[in-house]
Amino acid sequence: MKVKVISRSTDVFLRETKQQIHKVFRNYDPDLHPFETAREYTRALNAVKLERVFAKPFLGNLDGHRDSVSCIAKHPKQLSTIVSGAFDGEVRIWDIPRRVCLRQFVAHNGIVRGITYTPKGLKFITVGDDKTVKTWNAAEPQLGEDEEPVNTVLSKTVITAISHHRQKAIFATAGEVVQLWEESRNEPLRTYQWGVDSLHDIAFNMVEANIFAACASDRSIILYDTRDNGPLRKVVMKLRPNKMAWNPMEAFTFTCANEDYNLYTFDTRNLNKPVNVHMDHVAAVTSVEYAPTGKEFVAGSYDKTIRIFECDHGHSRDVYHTKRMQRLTCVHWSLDNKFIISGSDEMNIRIWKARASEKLGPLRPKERNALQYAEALKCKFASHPEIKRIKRHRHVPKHVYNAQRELRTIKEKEKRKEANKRAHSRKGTVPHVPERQKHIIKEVQ
Amino acid sequence: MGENSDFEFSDIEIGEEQHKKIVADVLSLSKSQHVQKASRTEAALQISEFNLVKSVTDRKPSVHVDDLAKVLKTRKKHVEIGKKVESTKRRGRTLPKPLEKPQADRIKRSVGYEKNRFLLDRWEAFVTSMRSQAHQSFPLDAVEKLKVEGKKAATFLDTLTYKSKLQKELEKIDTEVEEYHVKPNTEENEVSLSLEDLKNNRKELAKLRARQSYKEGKARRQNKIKSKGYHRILRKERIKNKLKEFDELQKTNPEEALKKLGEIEKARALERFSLRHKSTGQWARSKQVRAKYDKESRQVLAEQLQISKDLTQKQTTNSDSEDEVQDIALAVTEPPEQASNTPWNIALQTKPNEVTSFYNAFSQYAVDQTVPNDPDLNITCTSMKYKEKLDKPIKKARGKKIDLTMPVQSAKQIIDEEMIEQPAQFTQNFTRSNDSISALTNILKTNTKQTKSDVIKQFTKPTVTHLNSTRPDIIVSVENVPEASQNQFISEGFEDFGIASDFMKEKKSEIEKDRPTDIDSNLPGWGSWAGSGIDPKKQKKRRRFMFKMPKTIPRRDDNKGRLIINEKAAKKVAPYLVSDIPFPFKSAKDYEASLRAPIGNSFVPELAFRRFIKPTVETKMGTIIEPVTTGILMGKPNK
Repeated sequence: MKVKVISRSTDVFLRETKQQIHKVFRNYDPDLHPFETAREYTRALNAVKLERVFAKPFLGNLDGHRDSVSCIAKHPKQLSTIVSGAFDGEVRIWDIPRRVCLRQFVAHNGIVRGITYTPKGLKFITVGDDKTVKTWNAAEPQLGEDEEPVNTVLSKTVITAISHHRQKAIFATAGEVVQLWEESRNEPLRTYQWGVDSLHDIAFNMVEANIFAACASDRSIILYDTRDNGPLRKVVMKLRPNKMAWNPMEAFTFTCANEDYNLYTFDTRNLNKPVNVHMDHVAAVTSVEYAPTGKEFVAGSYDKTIRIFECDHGHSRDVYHTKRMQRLTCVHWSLDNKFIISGSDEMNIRIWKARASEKLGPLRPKERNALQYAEALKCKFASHPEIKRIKRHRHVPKHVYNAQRELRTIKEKEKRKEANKRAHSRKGTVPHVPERQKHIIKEVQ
Repeated sequence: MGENSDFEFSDIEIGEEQHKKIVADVLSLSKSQHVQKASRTEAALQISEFNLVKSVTDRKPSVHVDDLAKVLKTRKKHVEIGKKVESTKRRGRTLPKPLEKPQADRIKRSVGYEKNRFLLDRWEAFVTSMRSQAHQSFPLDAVEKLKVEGKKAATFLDTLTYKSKLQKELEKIDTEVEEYHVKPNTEENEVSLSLEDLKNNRKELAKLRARQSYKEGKARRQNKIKSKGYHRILRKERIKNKLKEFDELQKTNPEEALKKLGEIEKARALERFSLRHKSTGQWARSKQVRAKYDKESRQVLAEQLQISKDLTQKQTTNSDSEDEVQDIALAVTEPPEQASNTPWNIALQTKPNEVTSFYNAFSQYAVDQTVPNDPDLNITCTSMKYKEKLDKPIKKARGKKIDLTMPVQSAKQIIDEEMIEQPAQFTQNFTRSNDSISALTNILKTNTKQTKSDVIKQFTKPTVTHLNSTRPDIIVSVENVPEASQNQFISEGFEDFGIASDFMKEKKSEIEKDRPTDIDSNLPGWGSWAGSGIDPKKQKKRRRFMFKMPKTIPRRDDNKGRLIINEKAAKKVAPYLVSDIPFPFKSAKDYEASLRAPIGNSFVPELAFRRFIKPTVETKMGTIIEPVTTGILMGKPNK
């Protein structure tokens, strides 16, 4: 009689050669997997823990500047090249993968206020405190040649910021007035002034490239049109916007980094109310830059931290800091959506991963699948408290932690006070003002 | 006087025009205009305010249109023009004063803003779609530009034609035969060839050689492949082809098909006879391993061997009793003597392995096609019905109408199981088998006269017989058991143990345990004084700071009878559970369903898994992601 027994020979589950893949026996019958949800939950928990384990975003720094870094520009066609300007007027060109400085020269007397590459990346333009606009060759000079600008323009007014048109040979500068320049001409094409004494930042829209916006010292953001219209509209806020960035995938969205610790995302078509308020910083936000996918942006702050926000979320996804990093002056998101570059007060340029726990370099298919699965699981169980807690958990510097607590108390106090006021006054006299409207004073035509 | 005369003289001398000029000069003395009107020499953005001149035209225009029109009185046409001018002058109104500059600017700004807003509105749809997409890959215009190029040499050679059409056709028919006949051009050789012709010839020959060597190389490589898997695939393909052939043959030439079937079965029989399968199965091998140490397995193995021996012996025996029960499944296994008589046996001997494997495949195929039941059912049949059915075909055979049911059998099960259980029946079956074979041979003889269509009908429409098996009996026995509730069973089973009362006791104690005790908030020692003149017995018990708990607290299992609900257990899990329904979901039910659906590849098929884990944003390593351009609104790539 033949008796069937459970027996396994090694032939069944051992592979003959190394090249063969392992046989995996699966039965998808749900009756055989009564604990599938529980198992996946455990996997998600492990995945989220591993994410925290592997979260090591700092990649390296570029040191060489002898004064604080004031501005950085990315090369539009090369991922490896950036150019940075410092407060002592020095400009340096860096090779990121090798972490070396390729060129260095003093470009301006005083601070280098702004740098921008031309669209094809053949030249870059710097503006400084010495009222000059200098154009430089992106290529290194020949042996024996001096570092000399291709073109120098003496401006009549002080210039504090520069932004280049995405395609045309046009750039705009901000300062006492907004000026529109053509690369080949020494006189500004146009000069716009709208009752403000100074402007400190300017940015061209990357999608509808004829529109640009400037941050003014009267706490306003002004929209301009390069065509004959000139200034279009102005929105005045309670505190000064320091910097602004346009979304590269959405023509009408821009975000401004504000002095009141928040960032505001605006829809250009409806300026009287920001679309979103992004909180979390505990000091003035000094710089902001969008990811090339337009889904996220990075902000650097005076509180010595970098925070990454998702466009549609009010709170940051991640916070980066190191003990030695001081006040941030500029942040940039690399054009391949992988890295973040930050310049700060203590003369260093730092390179970070855009996603802290991401594995860099090519992945084998199995590895990629596993990572993607982990990501999907985290997403699936995202609202489970344990997973949420671990995912959100961050160590922040003591001063940030304390400031957060303080701010929380202040906010609670204000809320309580308002509630009390409302409770003790006639109905309707103390209206509810949504957070999004609190910070806007008016929209000026 | 002299002055007067002089004056008069001068009065006469001064002409009309001069006089007029003098008058104009005198008149204009009051309106001093020292600065000349600016004349433009160079293009400038700003006009200097120092060069501005008072406009002479607004107060007292130097040129009147009327005056111009008056000049034209000489002609009739011109008079009309003059009238027209006058009428327009009457109707025309002076333009209003331009707006104040701030106001004008504001209007300009708002108009410009509206214009741009309209431009930006065009993006609404695109932005919405981008935001709502579950999966996105950047850069946006990333179209796979990789092209898999075929082997250049091969394609190049394919373009050259050196084969005739006929040859190509022939190759299609029989692709395995590859022969290249290179004819020496004897005739042409005789004729002196030109240099070009020679070159061409050489080229062609070279091409041919290249092709040939390529093919040869390929064949050599294929021959060298040792992989079992590869050969297995080849073999399977060959078998499949044969099956297909057989199928076709069955349709077109049933006689031939029948013959072939016979062949196949013959081959199988021979294979089984070779005694190669006596102790080669996995089971037998594992037993052999154990046999050394295990008595039982040794015994089992011996038993198995005995069986096989019996089998072979019994197969060789010939019995001539005709009226005994026969089993279809074994109808074909012929004794070797008879088999050797048949002419197609020779053919079989040449390639036994392939044919057997083909047979195995075929039998599986046949089983699948004809009989929905288990193969066991055929074997464990009981006698009576069968007898009738099987008798008929023989009669029919004599009457030219034979029921040629496809002999359905499965390879191993028959021998492994059935024979063991019913050896007697088996022998009977075998005695019958000869008959069937003789019947078949009869058919072969008689059918030569038969019409083809008849045969086809018989062959292609096998009558399926559903047989009673032992299995249903078991089911029946189960059905016959009187139905009883589970509670009854339990109560009957545990009658003696008093389990119900025990449970109630347990529940009571559980309730007691969970009941909160009274809280005594008296200070310890307060009121229990000691000392002279104090009688500790007389001291009052202080009840003032005692918090009494209610004796009964509502529980969830109060009215549930035989059920204890542990309410504390839920509290432990609570912090790990989701308290609110997360955003896109509207009901807890939906959310739970989404959690319940697994996404891992241990629970769902690979393709679904891939779909589930697709990341929301994909980027290409080392690729610059450009911002969108207006071209994308027109459906152009983002460039």
